[in-house]
Amino acid sequence: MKRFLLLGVLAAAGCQGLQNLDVSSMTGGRINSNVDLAKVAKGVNQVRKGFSEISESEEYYIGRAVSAQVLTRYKPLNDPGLNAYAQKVAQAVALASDRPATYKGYHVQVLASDEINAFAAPGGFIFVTKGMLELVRSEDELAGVLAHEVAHIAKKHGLKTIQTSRLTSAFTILGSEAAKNYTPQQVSQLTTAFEGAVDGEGGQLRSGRPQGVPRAHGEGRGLGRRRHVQDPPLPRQARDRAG
Amino acid sequence: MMKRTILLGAVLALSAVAAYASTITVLVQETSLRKRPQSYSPSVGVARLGQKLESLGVEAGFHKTPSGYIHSSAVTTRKASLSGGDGVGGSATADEVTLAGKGFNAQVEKSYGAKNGSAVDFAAVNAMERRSVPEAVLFEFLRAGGLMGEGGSK
Repeated sequence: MKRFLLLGVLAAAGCQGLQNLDVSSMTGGRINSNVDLAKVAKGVNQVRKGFSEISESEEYYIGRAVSAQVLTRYKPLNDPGLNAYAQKVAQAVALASDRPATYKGYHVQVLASDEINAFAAPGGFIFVTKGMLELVRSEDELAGVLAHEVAHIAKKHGLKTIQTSRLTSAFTILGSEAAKNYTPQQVSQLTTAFEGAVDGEGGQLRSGRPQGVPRAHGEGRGLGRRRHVQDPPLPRQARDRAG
Repeated sequence: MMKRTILLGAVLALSAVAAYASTITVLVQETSLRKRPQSYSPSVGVARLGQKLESLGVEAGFHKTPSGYIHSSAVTTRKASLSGGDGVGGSATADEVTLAGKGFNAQVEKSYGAKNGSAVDFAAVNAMERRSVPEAVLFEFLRAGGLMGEGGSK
């Protein structure tokens, strides 16, 4: 497992793929037309300049909303043993990362999909498909896949894809009114900015295949599939270990 | 002569620690304070959101505090107010937004959920978030896999 932890971290360190995906088909992200953007931009520069200034708690709420979208597109796998096992491996990997603690920790959900995929949402949310779990041949390989996703979260790759302009109105409200309760209009403005951030993020997830998994492995010639027909697939091994 | 040198060294060392000592603020809901500056070191306490601790220095990415070591990614070294309004130019900083529970928060999520209806499933996210492995179980898992370094979780 040590070797794959290292491999996973190294693979993730070189991965920029998620930042280059097309998000043009995603909806949302409009700035409230009542906001004077020029004035706003000036004020914002004094306070928060971009994704790096999105707070820990906001990152968590963006991640929750992205995850809430994911879980309508994919059905969560109802297998407590397998989910617990994936959670355990992910937490073990996260402990060794640059960011062992997020706002509310790391959480994993196995998806009932034969796609070979794994992806991360900001703040600590990780998804891995049943298809991916059937493809990996060992705990080390699973650790490598999850380390890749942990690295995306630790490095805040998802937040980097959010256009700062989509957050401008939110930053302004926070700049002037952060100590007070929000008015309905402010909640509406924040929600619009939130939608922009979340939808941009959601678009990144659609093709979140880890770069360490070659396309041909599971979807082309099917070499991986033939191999695991002969060997017990990980889910069965995982259930044994998780018990 | 020797005694004087030792005394001088001790005074200088203490001065250096005192000069470095600073206040840090926890930015995550809950995180472990550890016995040593290692993630696999046993927990000796828990630090919670907004808690202020005295940092005596940084070792291997962990702040040393009188209560234990805390990972630097879980804290801010900047001054931050819980009320969220004392930042630059009277505006809130990102850290203050977290501490005050402002910005994109539960109130905004509720509004977003109402607006997007069936396109989001927060109940499934809540179920996902309830999944967590206790540290003792996690360390046993790591030990069984031969991943605990020297000293391990002891």
